[in-house]
Amino acid sequence: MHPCCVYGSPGEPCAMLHCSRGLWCICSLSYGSDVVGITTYSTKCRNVKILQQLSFRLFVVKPYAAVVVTCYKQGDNSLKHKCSQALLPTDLSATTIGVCGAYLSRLALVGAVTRGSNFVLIGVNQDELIMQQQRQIEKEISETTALVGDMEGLESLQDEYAGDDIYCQKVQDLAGKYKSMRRTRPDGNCFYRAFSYAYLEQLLDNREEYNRFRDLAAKSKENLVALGFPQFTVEDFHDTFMEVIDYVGQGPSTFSQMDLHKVFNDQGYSDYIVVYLRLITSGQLQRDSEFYQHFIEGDRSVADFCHQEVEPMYKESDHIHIIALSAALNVGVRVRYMDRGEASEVIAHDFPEGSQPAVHLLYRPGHYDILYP
Amino acid sequence: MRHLSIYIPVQPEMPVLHHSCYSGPEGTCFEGGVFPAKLIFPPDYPLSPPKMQFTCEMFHPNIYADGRVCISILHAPGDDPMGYESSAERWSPVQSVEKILLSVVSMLAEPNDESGANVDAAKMWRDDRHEFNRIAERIVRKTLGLPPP
Repeated sequence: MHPCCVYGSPGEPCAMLHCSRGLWCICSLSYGSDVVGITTYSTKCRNVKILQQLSFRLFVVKPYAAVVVTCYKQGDNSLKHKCSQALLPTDLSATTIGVCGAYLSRLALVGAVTRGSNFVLIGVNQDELIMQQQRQIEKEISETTALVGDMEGLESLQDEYAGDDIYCQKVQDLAGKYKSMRRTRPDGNCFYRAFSYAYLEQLLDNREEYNRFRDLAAKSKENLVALGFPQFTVEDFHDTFMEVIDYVGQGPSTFSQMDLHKVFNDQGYSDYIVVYLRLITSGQLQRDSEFYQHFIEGDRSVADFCHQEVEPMYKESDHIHIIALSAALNVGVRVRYMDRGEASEVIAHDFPEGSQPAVHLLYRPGHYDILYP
Repeated sequence: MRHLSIYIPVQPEMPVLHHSCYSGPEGTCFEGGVFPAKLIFPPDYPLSPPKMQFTCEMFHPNIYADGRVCISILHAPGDDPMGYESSAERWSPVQSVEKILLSVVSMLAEPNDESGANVDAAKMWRDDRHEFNRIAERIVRKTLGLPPP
């Protein structure tokens, strides 16, 4: 049903659609006040043959992913659709009409459309629909999952995988090594958010490490600017990042764990921290590009990889991101991999290799949460 | 050297809606035109990119019939209506409005006929440049308030 190609725009009464193997349909679209007439021709082997002449009453129901169609014979206005929120076809884009036409043509070809048939086309514009569905999912996730959740015991994992032997075994193994966990929102930023939360939480009462990190963080902006990042935009994120680090530096009596939790669940602060860590990661990858180039698939350069996979928000992180960030900040990370693999143990990877892990993360395919030993 | 002009009214705060005007790049079929456009900033800017929409008539492969501009830098990763994912630079929070404005000017000068936001325009740009230039000239004159040639 998805046409390869749609020609025509509102006002130009023609859409040419690639319906199926070798069969092209031309839908000539004629606009009335609320009617689109579609004439379907087959143009196989240059023989143009009129297949169907039908008129459709199109109603676009907002959002425009759904179109209600009523089919009737030309000149017959007896069928009235009762749709109060209807928009007129003049509001339709060429693509929408094109895809709609392709679908109707297909139905007409197989004889599924008869006078008075009433149906709803879902997915008139597949791309828009997919994007819209994705936004809906994201919205649901953001309404149900905190950016960083409360501390919970590992039993909650046990409940999650009740009846799944492989995972249950792994949760048991994990429970022997860790006391508790903290979930993060699965929005593609989870690695950065989990990492920074777990690390800053420790700095609350580790003055020595705090001082080292604050120096490094303060200097990081100049390093990024020297690498060619625009000062004007980097500054914005760096300022917020330093603001949070300075809060942490006030010590637990002034700025408690609860306060940190609040900051990390404030979208404004939380996302800016994520952005800045993405920039530090990108900077590290580009500074040491000769090394990292070997880990990048395809013929993308390290810089391209950073622009496409590291710097944009909501892009998920892989080994290479973790290696780079842990190296840039000189903070050891242990990731526990929980997947469907055969081993009963939850395998650990330390970044950088051989380092003493300060942060422990639980990885389940596509997502990172915080673990507490 | 090419002369390049983008006009943006100075406003004290970042407005949700930002109006700007583009002068058609010299040496292209849009030369001489003054094209008004609006930039619409989402609530989570700069995490997500702004949207851009020309408010005058446009005929261009990368501009939808309703004036919305379709270039890679205005797309967040994941939003990929035209199959851009593999190529070109996408929006990230360090990108600036300036970069968008420059990208739009370069889009005016060099359309990308592989991503057809306006398939008719893309097809004509490829197959019938003479006709494309004629339409562009009419649009340029229209933006200046001149009658068609």
